[in-house]
Amino acid sequence: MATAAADERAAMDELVVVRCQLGERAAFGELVDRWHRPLWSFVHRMVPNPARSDDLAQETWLRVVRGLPGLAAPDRFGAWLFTLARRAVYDELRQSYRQVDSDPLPAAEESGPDTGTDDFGRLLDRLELQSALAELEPREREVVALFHFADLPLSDVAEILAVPPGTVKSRLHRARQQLSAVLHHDEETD
Amino acid sequence: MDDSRTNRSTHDGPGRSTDEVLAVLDRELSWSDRLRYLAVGLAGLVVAAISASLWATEPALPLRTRLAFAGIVLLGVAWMALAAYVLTRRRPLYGTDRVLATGLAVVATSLVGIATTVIAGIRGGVLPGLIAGAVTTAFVVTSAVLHLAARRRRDALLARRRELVRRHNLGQQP
Repeated sequence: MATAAADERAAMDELVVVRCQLGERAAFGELVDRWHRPLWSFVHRMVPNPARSDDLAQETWLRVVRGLPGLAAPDRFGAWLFTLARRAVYDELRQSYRQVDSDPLPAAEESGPDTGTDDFGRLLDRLELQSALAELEPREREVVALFHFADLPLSDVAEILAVPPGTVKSRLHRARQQLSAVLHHDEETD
Repeated sequence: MDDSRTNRSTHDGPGRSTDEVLAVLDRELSWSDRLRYLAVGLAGLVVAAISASLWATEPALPLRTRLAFAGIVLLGVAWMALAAYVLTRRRPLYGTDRVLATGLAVVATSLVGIATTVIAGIRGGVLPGLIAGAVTTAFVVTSAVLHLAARRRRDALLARRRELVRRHNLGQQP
């Protein structure tokens, strides 16, 4: 049952991409509607500055529009999109590492969240997790962002990172251990 | 990237709505922009072809005139190269648009080629006419091959769309 629903979802996703490749303008709205949030979510986990995340997500969409006519496998759009996003993120990270006066803890420059509408406890948990994620190496951070926050299957994550699925599993394992260590350390110091 | 704008992003979601993202993409997807570059490319072809045929069929031109013709031909080729770069890299043509654009290219190369061959034949004689005819054939064949490839690609996409709709009954009109 779940497989049938997943197949249906995958077919709908592919159909939207094929319509875009044909040049149907309305389909681009559906494409952005479907993928913008998971894309932003991944980018935000990698570069935890909301304004930068918006810019990088937009930059990724520009790359999509320029590359989409040449995409040979429309059913692999998700993996391709996150590959482009990953490139944009790494370009950004390289640039920020070059800047001597850049902030070494980008999480610290985030804008304040809207506490009026969100559950404060949940928000604190999320902030803690976000902060812990920021302490991971980019390699571990991206695997967590793709697998847990963009909800991509293991095979897609492996394709995006261009590594075997076994390597994704070991990176995930390592990332979870590191996250757990960071979160426990924070608890002890509080 | 502009950091100065008001940032509405939070940890929960993106600061830009789908409509805002699409508004930026609209410029990239603009058909009129693509048409403009297509026109630039075709104009480059006309300028280069006519200048080259006049240059080749005019006997005993002074050096300065030949340099001027070479400059004009180079300018036409540069326009064509710019249009080709933009239409394949910066503002690529999508399925249906590509069929239309390559169809226009076939018509334009045929018309310009025939005109150039006639001019070369009348003014220069048999040999320049044959050379112009060969160059015309090369241009027409190239654009026809591109046109056929564009049609094949569009037909494959249409078939895939029909197949997806049929198999999954997704409610889209093929």
